[in-house]
Amino acid sequence: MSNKEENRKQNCGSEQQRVGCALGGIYTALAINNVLPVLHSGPGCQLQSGTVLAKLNGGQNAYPYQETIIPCTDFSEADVIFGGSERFRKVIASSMKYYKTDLIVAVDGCTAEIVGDDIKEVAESFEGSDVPVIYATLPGFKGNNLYGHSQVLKAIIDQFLDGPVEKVEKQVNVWGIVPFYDATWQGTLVGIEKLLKDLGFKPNIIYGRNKGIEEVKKIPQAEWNLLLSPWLDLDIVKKLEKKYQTPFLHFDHVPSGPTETTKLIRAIAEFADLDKEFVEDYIRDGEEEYYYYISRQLASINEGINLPKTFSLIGSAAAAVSTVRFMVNDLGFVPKKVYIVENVPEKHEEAVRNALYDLELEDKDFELVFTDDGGLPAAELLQEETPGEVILGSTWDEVLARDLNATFFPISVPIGPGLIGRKSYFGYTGGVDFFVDFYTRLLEGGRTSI
Amino acid sequence: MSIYEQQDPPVRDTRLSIVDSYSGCGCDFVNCAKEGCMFKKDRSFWQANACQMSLSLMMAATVENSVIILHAPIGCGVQMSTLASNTDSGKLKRGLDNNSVVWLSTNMKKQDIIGGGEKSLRETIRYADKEFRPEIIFVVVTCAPSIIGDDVGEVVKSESENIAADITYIHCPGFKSRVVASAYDSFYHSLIKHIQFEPEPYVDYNPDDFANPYNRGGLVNYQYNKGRTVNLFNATSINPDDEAEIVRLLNALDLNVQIFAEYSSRDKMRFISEAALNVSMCNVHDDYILKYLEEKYGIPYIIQGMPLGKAGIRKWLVSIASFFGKEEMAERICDYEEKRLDAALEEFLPKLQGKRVLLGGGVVRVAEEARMLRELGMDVIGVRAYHYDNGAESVYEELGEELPDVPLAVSTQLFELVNQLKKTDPDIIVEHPGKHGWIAKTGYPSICLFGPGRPFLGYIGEYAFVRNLAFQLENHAFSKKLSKKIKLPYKKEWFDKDPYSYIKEGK
Repeated sequence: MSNKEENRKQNCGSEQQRVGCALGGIYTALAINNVLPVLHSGPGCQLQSGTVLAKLNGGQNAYPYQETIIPCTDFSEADVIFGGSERFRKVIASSMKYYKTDLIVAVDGCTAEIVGDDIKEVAESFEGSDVPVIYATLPGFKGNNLYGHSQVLKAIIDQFLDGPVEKVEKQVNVWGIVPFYDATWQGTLVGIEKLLKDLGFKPNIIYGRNKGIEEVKKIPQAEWNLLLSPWLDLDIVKKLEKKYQTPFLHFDHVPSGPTETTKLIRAIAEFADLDKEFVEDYIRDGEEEYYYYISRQLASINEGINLPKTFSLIGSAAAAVSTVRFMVNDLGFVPKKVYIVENVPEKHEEAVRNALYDLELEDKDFELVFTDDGGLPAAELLQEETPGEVILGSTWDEVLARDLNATFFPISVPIGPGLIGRKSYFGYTGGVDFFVDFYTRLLEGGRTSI
Repeated sequence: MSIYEQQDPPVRDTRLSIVDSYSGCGCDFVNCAKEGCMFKKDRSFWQANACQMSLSLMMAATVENSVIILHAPIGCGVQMSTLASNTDSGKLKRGLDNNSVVWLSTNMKKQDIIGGGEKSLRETIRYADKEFRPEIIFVVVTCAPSIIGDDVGEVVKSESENIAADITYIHCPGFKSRVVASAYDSFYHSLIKHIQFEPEPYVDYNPDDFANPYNRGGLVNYQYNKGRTVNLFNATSINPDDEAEIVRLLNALDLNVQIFAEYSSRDKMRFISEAALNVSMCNVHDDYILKYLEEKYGIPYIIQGMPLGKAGIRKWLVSIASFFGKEEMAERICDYEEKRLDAALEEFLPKLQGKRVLLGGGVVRVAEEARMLRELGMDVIGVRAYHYDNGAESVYEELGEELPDVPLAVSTQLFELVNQLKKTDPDIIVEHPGKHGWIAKTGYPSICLFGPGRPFLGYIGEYAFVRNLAFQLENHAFSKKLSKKIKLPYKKEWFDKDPYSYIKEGK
């Protein structure tokens, strides 16, 4: 393995945007039912933050507050000169009056931060009002949407949640999945909820259908937190551990397919001391389900096509770990190059690297590159002798795959404008769906290089 | 009467000495064939096999601007729907118009079986001609009309007067032969009988040019070009990349190349007779037509295994070159290409060394491939040919010398393969497409013997094959885990027996 310097590559500029602006953090708020972000930003900021995360990422939009109705101060020249705090206060007040909402998250963007509007003061001035108001600063120059996501969650924990409470037996909070950013978040959370219920827990998930302020309020009472990501939300569960003494189980990705799902279930069973026999029965049934369904497709994928063996991947850390594990451990593929393009903080790089190389593969000679330049992978892979016969990535990489005469399969943000619905690749059945979607691509005139 | 004058082609079982059940080893394989003991073998248990009609359709569907009429009950030929997409991509890759293949069925019913299906066949032929205006109509004669005795030859002959298209018929009832390779003969027989192989005066050339005493140049030019033109015969298992590679090598010998008969058309086929030499890329496919072309037009032919593996390619190319007196040139080309190939293969070869490989597929191709893999340092632990006939004798003589101890079997049967896998525990299996699902279920990695989308022949083919082999030798998680979760339908008792224990004397 080469050293860190070499593996963090930066060009003078970045192309092919694969993350959103910090303001994209509002999508975390929008994923919680009836939580309304109110923006103190330029008029176009909301639109910009949403394109990569929502519209181009599985054709998503927020609900019930579809993007165009999100209140905004539409920061203008006068505000730059005189300050916009007062106008922001008015917009929040009218939002409270006209919108059905349980919680308002007041956020600002670059301009407000630069001119120095104090949104903390604005939010605090609403203390005692019918609808609680919290604030989060989300200027794009401070980070990407993952920074925004973290800021919003921290705002909720610090400003909205009360002090320590009684624990509720068997309650588990689920973290690590960034709504909208992970296009399959809704389906994945439904799957995780079902899994935890099957194992006898009371899962508490704050995003998605029917998940709202009540679920948020229940966060402190959880017996433990489940974190399913290589690094994201690690700060959140640590914060919860500090504030509410809630322990957490860190499993480094959202598992797809039998091998990794089984590992997760066993990890949970060990952490929560579940009945071994019950858990093993559950695992046997799940694995049997996966293998039953894929067995019924094998003839098709083995009739007269040259199945590829190698792949390269370009994507977020979470998508990369989940996909590489499934491709290698279950589908028997071999990775050639993996690019993590979400600007992973340096202190977490080691964790991501360990997660990625933790594979059931003899020869782990593939290269891992951290970069925030989305155009770098294409530039490098086009020069590679063996760039991989399959390119897993975002919609940007479709063109690259065509140039490489490789098969393309979308796994990371932005996955493209095609609608996502409640699709998910989580778990045993998610593994079947991945298998089906992936091999369908190969069969439908998928290209294979020589 | 020559076999080529018969109305229906002979099946391979009658034309050649042929066998589809055998198990032995490299050293006594050819002896057993020569002495005839091999041809007495049969199996007392069979699993479903393929039908010669499917291969006939595979070839006919590629001919441009043609319509296929299946003279059959409606179920025969459902494979056309999957064939059509393959043919489309094959046409696209060769730069042809990918007008999808048109096929019709005479939809034989009870009353046709009782009263004969000739009337509905006539109607279908006229409809096809009027509706689609094809260049060639292929009537495919299946089991049912052959049993009830429909005289398709007579129908085709009389209808050819009523329609604009050329019409011919492929006689390929499945019950006639267990050896699907018969289909190649049936298809070529259909071309021989009813398709023109000579250029048409005033369409393809101007006869006055040759008659003009003041223009000798035209004739000299024509003779020169014909004298260095080679016909190459392809098949579905030879993909466009393979063709391109072989054409590249022949062009390097300064030869013109014409490719027949897949992805050809009526207009192109008129030039089949306009060549100095016919060249086969695989014995199994085309000895029937090559012998015909020699008999009819006096064009010599070369059948020399397949251009697979360095030794195989050299032998194949030199044998062609020697016909034109260009051996030295061919040797030089091979030297140069081998040097390039060796350099390219360097990084992959260590992964292959000593790996145990089992091969299965078409009779000539598996043998050539086995020799190639041995040349590369792999340990060939078994070869399964889909059939054997005396056309492949020379190839198997060489194989017997190089790999005398390797078990050789003649088998298409899955139950035997699965058993052999469990017994021999190979590192990798090289197999004909269609068996890989079962190999994975048994817990082993495998790679296609041939297939679309990647070159397999020539130097580029060897590079691509070795590279993929090296990739496939890594990470067997898929098949390993699959085999643990899946129940094979055979009982333990079967795995206790010898894989080829059902092969018995007596046909």
